[in-house]
Amino acid sequence: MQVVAERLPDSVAKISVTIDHDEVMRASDQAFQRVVMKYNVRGFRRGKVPRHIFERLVGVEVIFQAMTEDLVDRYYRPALQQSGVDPVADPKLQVESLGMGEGEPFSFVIEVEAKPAIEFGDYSDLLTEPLVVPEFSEQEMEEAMQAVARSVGQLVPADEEPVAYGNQIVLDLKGYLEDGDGNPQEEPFVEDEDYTVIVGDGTTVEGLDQKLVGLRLGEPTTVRLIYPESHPSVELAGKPVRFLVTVKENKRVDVPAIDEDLAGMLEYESLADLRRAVAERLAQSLEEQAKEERFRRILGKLKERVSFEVPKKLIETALRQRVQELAANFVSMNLSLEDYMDSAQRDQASLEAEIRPQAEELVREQLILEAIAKLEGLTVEDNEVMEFIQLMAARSRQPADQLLRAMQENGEIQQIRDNMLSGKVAAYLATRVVA
Amino acid sequence: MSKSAYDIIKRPIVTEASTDAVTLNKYTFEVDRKANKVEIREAIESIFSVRVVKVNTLWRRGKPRRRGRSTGRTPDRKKAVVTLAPGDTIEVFGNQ
Repeated sequence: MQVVAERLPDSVAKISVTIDHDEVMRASDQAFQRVVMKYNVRGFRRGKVPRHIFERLVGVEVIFQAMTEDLVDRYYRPALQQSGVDPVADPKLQVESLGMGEGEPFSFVIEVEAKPAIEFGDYSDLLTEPLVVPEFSEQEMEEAMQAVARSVGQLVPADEEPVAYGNQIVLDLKGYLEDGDGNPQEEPFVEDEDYTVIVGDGTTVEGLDQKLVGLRLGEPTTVRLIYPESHPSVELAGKPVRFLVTVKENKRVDVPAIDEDLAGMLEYESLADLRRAVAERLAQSLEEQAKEERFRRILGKLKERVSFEVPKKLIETALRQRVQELAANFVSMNLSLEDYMDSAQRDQASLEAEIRPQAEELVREQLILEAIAKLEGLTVEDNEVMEFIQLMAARSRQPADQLLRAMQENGEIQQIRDNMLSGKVAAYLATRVVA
Repeated sequence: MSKSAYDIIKRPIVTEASTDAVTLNKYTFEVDRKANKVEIREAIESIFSVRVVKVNTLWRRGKPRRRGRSTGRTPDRKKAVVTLAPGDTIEVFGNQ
């Protein structure tokens, strides 16, 4: 088998495959043996027709068809492997010569959208910068301890106190849009008698939190603000509104003191143990952060160094995935993507146009990581994938083989493998230092 | 009016048995029911330009057929197995 590969525009790879005449003859005999069993020819038992009579009565085309399918099936993958082409879409096949003439070879051409061949050459100069993990300061340590203490804090009624940041309050809330003269409309656009909010957690409209601080229980207050331009709802974005709020409940978090009791509450033997654990976590997160930053820096430089066309098919797949993720996010917030698009007066095309550059960038990074994996011989073995699936199964409390089957049916295994490989390459780039 | 060679030889018979016989240089045809061995030999020789060594004929009897109340038969046919001189072949059988 001779394979000649060339790259065409639009990430298309053209692979010409030539197969020797002898091999073609063998394949044609095998193809005849197979197809002859499928035809009933008058005067012959099934499968007993001599080839020359079969060709005359049924036609030589059926044999050629079967032979072509056999040969293409048999040589398609090896040809891809030999030419180093990694397809991302269904191929277009064109048989150029059937090889039926004396000594004539069989040849076919595959045109398929493929991952680009990315050549980095030597990129070790990007890996000279050492991985620097910053030490955490005393203050960061104290803040981390405070956060731990806050996480076990209990909400206690604070009806006598003014509302403060971090408090959980219940409001009677009515929101009115204002017209040009600052007069509120008659119908409120929002009305809730038990609107629960944690002051300062960023879930309310921008600016409302600050105006709630200092309010007291049972005192009706009018809050005026302008909705940010970036608000998803077209009716509200950039518009002045007026909220009538009355605090009905005010609870503050009773943060326990950082002492031996807190350590005990968190099932540590002593405060020193707790401090050690928090310090470890802090150091770990700083290390992760430093690794991520170094990896991003190196990846950024690699991106500048190579230029290649990203296959459209991969961008489309990434785009669809991103839209699905977005839809899943909305579902987790009890909304739907359609509702959001309606309220923001957007259509699928504009959403996709917005996401497309991100998707393309994501695919570009993925392709670079794959190229690095190939260059450095990084792979993900089957047992590693299995271990990961077992871990996922244990987390979601379902049998591993059931999860594996479901993933196989949905074709998710390859995606997991790709993600794991990206993770491996990221870790490699983050930690590898060349002197 | 004498019959032409094409009236005597109706069609070649291509079956498993007849193709096997080709290896013995024997070719099978359906022939006119009234044709005799001499006529068959002459017809084959003139159509295919070959030399005939021997002609064997046999009857393939018609089968009874029934359509409702009326019964009938398919027609009787005459077959001829023609042996050719060594080296001669007939292309109709597609033998190479």
